[in-house]
Amino acid sequence: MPDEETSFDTEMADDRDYTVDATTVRRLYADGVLDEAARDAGLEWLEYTPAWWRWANRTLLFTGSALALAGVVFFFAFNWAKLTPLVKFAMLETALLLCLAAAWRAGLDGLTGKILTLGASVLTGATLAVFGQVYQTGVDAWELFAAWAALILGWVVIAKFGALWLMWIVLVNVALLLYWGQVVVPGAELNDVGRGGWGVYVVLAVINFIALAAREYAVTNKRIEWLAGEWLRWVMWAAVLFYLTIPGVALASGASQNKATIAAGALLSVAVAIGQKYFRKIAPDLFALTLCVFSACVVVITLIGRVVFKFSGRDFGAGSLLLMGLIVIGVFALAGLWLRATGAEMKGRRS
Amino acid sequence: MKKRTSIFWVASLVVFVVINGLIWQKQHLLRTGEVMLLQLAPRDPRSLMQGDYMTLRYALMEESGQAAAEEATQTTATKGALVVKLDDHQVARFVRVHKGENLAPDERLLRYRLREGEFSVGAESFFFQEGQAELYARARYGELRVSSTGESLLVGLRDENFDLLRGDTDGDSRFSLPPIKDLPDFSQTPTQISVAGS
Repeated sequence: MPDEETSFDTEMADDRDYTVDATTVRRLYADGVLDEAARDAGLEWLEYTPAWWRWANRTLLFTGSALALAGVVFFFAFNWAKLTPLVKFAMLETALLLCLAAAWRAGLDGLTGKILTLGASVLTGATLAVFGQVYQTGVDAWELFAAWAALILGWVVIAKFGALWLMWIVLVNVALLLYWGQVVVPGAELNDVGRGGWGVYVVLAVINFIALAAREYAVTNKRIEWLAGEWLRWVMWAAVLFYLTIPGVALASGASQNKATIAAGALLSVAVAIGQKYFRKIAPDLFALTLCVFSACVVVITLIGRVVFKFSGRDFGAGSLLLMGLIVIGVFALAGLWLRATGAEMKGRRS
Repeated sequence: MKKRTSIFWVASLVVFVVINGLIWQKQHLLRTGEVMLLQLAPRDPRSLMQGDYMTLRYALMEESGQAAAEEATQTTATKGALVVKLDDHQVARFVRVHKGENLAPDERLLRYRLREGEFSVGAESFFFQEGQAELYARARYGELRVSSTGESLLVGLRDENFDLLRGDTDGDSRFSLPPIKDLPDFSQTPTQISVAGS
């Protein structure tokens, strides 16, 4: 079959009749005989549908699905109190089972199977949330998130799906944040200086850094395809820098100087140093580099601000605010210039 | 690949066993647990309404405040059990902190967690359907089912006459349609159309 298709254009030379339909055109494109423009032109000619028709089709499909979904959601929301707990659980578990069976049927290697496994993981969380609401035992929220993460771990390991992997890490993050607020430093706000609320940021930064390092190792050294999506790196790298920059700013502004913020400040310097080396030289990634630079700018501006407002004293006026505004513009302009130069240099090296 | 599929189903089985095990445990406690009422600490309950749930504060925690403070300074354990006595209305009164000793026949256990130097029996919040805050503002007691080992489960709220407050299960009244009789009658064709201003 493929041979016959690829020889299509040469046979066109003799004046035999050929019936060409859209399928033929698509196959020719798939075989590389037609380029994209030729395919589009051919399809346009063969199955002409006006743009407004396609637009109406898509709009109706989209609004129709959205309304049907909203209907399902509202049906359950409105009748929630009338459903007995066991009916709620039965419904959720049936949905869970259907999701798993469909994932298995579709095959765990295909995207459909992976998305269905992700769906099953989300449904597990929904079931636990309903459990926490139906039985008012005062189970701490962190326990539900920890149980959720623990229960879906098996699927996370075998699914080989980047989105599910990231969801699992987010769950671990949330569980730890809640655990810190409810057990380690009960009742304390996370920025409660005196009671060590900052510590959790350092712990979370380290955990996310380890996960990111594992991802980088898996992709570059083990050629693990399913973690290759760069957005995974961006989300985790942003998380690491965020967790370190928050206490870093508290340290730089002089608002809080304790073990946790000093550790965070030190780790932030290390992270920025590693990041600017790694994302410039080893795994060139301008966006990840930009995150690094942004984090550094925020801390530098805070340090400068501390000095400016120290000199202007308690009743600082418009002058020092104007000065700060100019400094902010200056720092970011410098950062932008550096990023542009570095980006051009990275591009030049790659090509 | 075979191995992967079997891990997939084993993991799925574990999820179902754990979730249903937890549900069974709670249902068992509901069926077999003893009714115990905890008086709510007197304060304006409406101030505690958070939209669709209210924060509960039990009088028991205030009676036991001194013991809790001592416990918090003496031990590093964050869990334990209180010994309580039930009165004629099944309302629990604090007796002492349980130290593993045998109980008198009229004494019961109630598990606690130590939080911020105060005992917490769990179930510090009660969820209800949105729009029913008025009903639950009358709550005076929290109703628990408690196992012999002190595991507890909040099942409802009672008013000052010990009557269970039952939520209206017909959904949130704000979202329900007006009864049909209140709708204008469209069945008759208007003979005259009045125009505003005429």
